[in-house]
Amino acid sequence: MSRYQLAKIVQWAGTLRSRKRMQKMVFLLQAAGCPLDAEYGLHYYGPYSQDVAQLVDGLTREGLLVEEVENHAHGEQYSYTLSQRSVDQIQRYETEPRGLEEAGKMEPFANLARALADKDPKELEVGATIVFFQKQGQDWPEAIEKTRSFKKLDANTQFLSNCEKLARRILA
Amino acid sequence: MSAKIIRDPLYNYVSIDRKRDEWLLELLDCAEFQRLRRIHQLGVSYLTYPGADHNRLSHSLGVLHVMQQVLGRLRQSYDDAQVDGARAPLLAAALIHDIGHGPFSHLFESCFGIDHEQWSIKITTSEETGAFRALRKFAPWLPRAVGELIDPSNEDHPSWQKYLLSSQLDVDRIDYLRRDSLFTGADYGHFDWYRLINTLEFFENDQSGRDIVWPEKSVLAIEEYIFSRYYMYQNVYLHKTTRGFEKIVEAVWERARYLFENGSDVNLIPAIRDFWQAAHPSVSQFLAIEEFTVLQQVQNWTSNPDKALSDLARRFLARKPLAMIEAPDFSGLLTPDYAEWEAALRERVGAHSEFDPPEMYIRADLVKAKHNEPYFPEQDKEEQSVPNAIRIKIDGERVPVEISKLRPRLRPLTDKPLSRIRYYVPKEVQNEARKLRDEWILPR
Repeated sequence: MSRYQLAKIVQWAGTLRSRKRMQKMVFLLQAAGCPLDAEYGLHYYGPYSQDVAQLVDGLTREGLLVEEVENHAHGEQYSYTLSQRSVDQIQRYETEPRGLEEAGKMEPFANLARALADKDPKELEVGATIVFFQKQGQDWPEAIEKTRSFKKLDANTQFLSNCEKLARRILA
Repeated sequence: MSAKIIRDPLYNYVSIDRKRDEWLLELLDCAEFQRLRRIHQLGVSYLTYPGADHNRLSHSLGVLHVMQQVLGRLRQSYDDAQVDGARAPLLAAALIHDIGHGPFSHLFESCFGIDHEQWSIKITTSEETGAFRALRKFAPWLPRAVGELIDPSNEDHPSWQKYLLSSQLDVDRIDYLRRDSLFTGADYGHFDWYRLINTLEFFENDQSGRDIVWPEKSVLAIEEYIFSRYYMYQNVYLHKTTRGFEKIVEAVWERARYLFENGSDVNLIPAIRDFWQAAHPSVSQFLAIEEFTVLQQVQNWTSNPDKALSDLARRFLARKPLAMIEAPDFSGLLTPDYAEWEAALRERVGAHSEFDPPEMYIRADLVKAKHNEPYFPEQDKEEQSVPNAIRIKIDGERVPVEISKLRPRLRPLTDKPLSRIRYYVPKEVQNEARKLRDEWILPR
């Protein structure tokens, strides 16, 4: 995954709230066909990529992303916006031939990214886990069942149905 | 004799109880495991460190030994059926976790496009192998259980079992850091491993069942282990000369594959030809490729009519590594133009007619951030970003605390590392390439 791609996703989101959302958005966009090429494994909270986490950290350290930390009762929540330096660089890059090409490949996923940025993070987590199991070769009912068991979720709830809907949209 | 005793330079004796674990001896004797004797543990590091001639088999026996010690410790502290039930799969997985490595360990993963963990799983669960038969002799379910334990994406086993085998402080790392240090002579692999394996405990977690944790008294030993890992990465695993040899090997195989796919006769040894021609190579086709096979193949290529292939093959056998230069400093740029820089480097190297085609002589080396960092701390409680982090049980705390929260001294080693790209070029043009890099103007 390139620096530009990550920055573009943050730009689409405006303010990207929580690292969990960042992780699941990249995973779901990639699963939907966006050429991001990030390596994912399954962690407690669903698909997780160390590469993405470290890219975020690198861009933050270099002042390309602005990180804010809020303390909540259940822990810290990080949110990300683009620094002005990044905004300027994206603008310039997207007028160059190689930037135009890269932007062209990303653009079809802009609306999906914006929709994901507004979703409940828990829904992203469970939806991404369903997609993860499905991509591992499980058929649809198996992927749902495995996700339910992995995330300790009740069957036939509105929440699970929303997550399934999200996963179906991604894999459509 | 009630025990099979094997001499080992790290533990003195590795011992297997003949009565209780006869099946394990059979596993040890199977052809696929014995093949590990012929695989260098550290790939081509022996070209940098002449002592690094140790193999995957001795490491695997070491991992078995450490696992035996850990299970003995848990059994003493927790007299329960869970530990007993997990004993056979954990011992077997410890012994054969690397059974799917190819020639020169990780090095040929990139040359042949293979993933050693996937081959370990295939060898373990394929009915045609001796490893499968030895495991099945113990119990019909054992091959599958071992395969699942080795599989990093499988979540069907209790997390404490996966943790012991594959985490940021597991039996594999404990052995290889110490063993690689001993054999390279790079004296950095010292830490109080005996304390680590004798103080670990279970923690009952609401979410994932049992976890492995350490008491507060072990934090210094853990800190020492993390520093040791850092020093070993800097001095041995990422050694620039070793990487220079690895880059040559990769170039040799890339060139040969290119020629092969374009119809040239590259005089392939049958085992390699079969592997390359198979759409889905079988276990036996994979196992037929040995270090001596690939070395003989490289030797054959020294007289190949393709100038680049024969030159690169000769350079490797004559111990002439590619030389390293750092990339231009692209930090602070969102869209670093590596392609433009590489094109300029190609032009510079290509001006020398002996380096043709130049791309075979310019090798990028991406050192991922995860290889630059000896330990990944948990970054935010909200997301528990690193499930296999090292956790400490503190008196009075409800949940274990991740080690970096307790030891700020670790921060310089773990705080937001960066990936970096280095380049390898022939020694003859290293200075020219450096000059080009120094004069490279970056947009700001």
